Amino acid sequence: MKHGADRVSIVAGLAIGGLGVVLLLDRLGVYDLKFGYTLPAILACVGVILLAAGLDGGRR
Amino acid sequence: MTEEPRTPDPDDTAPTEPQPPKSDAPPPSEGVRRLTRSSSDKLIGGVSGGLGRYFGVDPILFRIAFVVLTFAGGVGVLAYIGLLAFVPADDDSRPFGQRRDANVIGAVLLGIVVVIILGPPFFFVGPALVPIALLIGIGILLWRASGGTLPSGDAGRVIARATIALLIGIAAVGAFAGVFLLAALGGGTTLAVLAIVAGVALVVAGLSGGARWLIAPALVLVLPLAIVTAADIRVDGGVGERQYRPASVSDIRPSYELGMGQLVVDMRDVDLPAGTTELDLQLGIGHAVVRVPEDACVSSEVQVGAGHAQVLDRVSDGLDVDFAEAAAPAGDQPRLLIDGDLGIGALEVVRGDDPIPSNRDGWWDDRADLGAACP
Repeated sequence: MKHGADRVSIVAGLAIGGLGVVLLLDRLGVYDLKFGYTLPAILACVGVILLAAGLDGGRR
Repeated sequence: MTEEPRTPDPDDTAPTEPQPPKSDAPPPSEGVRRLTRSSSDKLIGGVSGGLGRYFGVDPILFRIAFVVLTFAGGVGVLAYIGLLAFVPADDDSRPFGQRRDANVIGAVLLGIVVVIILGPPFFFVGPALVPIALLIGIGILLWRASGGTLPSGDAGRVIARATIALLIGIAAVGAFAGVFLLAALGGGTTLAVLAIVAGVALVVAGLSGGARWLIAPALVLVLPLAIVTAADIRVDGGVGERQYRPASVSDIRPSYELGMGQLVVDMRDVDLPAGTTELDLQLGIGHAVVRVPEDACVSSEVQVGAGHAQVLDRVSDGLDVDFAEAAAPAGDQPRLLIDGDLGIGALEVVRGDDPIPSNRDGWWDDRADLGAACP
């Protein structure tokens, strides 16, 4: 990891950006998202961010 | 009080030998047992270790119980999270929501994702598990956004912290509702692009030091958008109560649409011809009722993002309600094909003058059979 980089921001960015891509593909009609897939995806997004924040050891 | 010359070892906190107080804080009352999470006997958060110490039994019994209860509707996970949230650690060195606790909660949320994805027959997941877990996760994120520590000090500071937390909560709910409405009004594509931009901005900012303040707004942007997308909610068809009573087949509209509210389509006056007549309904959020002619065979193709659908004797509810019923008319019997698409709400199809099920007390527990698809 590059010195000075913030791992939590990077992980959160990847998770939120990834979720944004999934939602955009649904909007563009590539597929039809349902709650059965969306809710676990949201939960995973929040969980990954919390996990990164916990592993970061409180550094801000 | 004298300092120990060596570094304290977590294992020194033996269950049967209470440690002398290591600070100026007053010691706990003699003879009063206090339930705490164990810092020395722990696999995840020390909950089972603490329970075992408190009740004087082997902690493995509680670990087994949590695992077993997790397979029984996810209760074990929820109970563990609850105890993790409200039972303090015995060393009091890591306030809830910081460092390891956030780590644990994040891991538990991901564990729930695994439980949901695997689903039956591996797990029996209760329907409330997902929303409860979501509320816990979002609540912790908001709490961390307000500082992430329990308020301490004088009453003024505590009130100030509580007020800030309340204002952040209100702002988050308002922003959530705004994004929800914007997405439901047709701005979903733009919002999805904004979510991607926010994600890229976070990564770029993270590489040059970080911008964690952006995480909460980005989540408030993406979460309601995800719900609107999953439920296929569109509220651009208007708001309010609309009732239609076509007198003939030619009066039937190509589509009956409403954004939010109650939509009633009464087909009792229509003399349906032989063959198939289609009825298309689209409702974003609300309640849709269709009254079909007495002599019609009713086929249906129903999709409800979240809610309830009853087409005569066919009832389904929950998330992602999706069913199709194909009626088989006899001879020249007319057939009505109802294509119902709801985001969040209820669709009820009744025959003739039959009462609407949801108008009856206790209808949810005692579903009425409204008759077969063909009379």
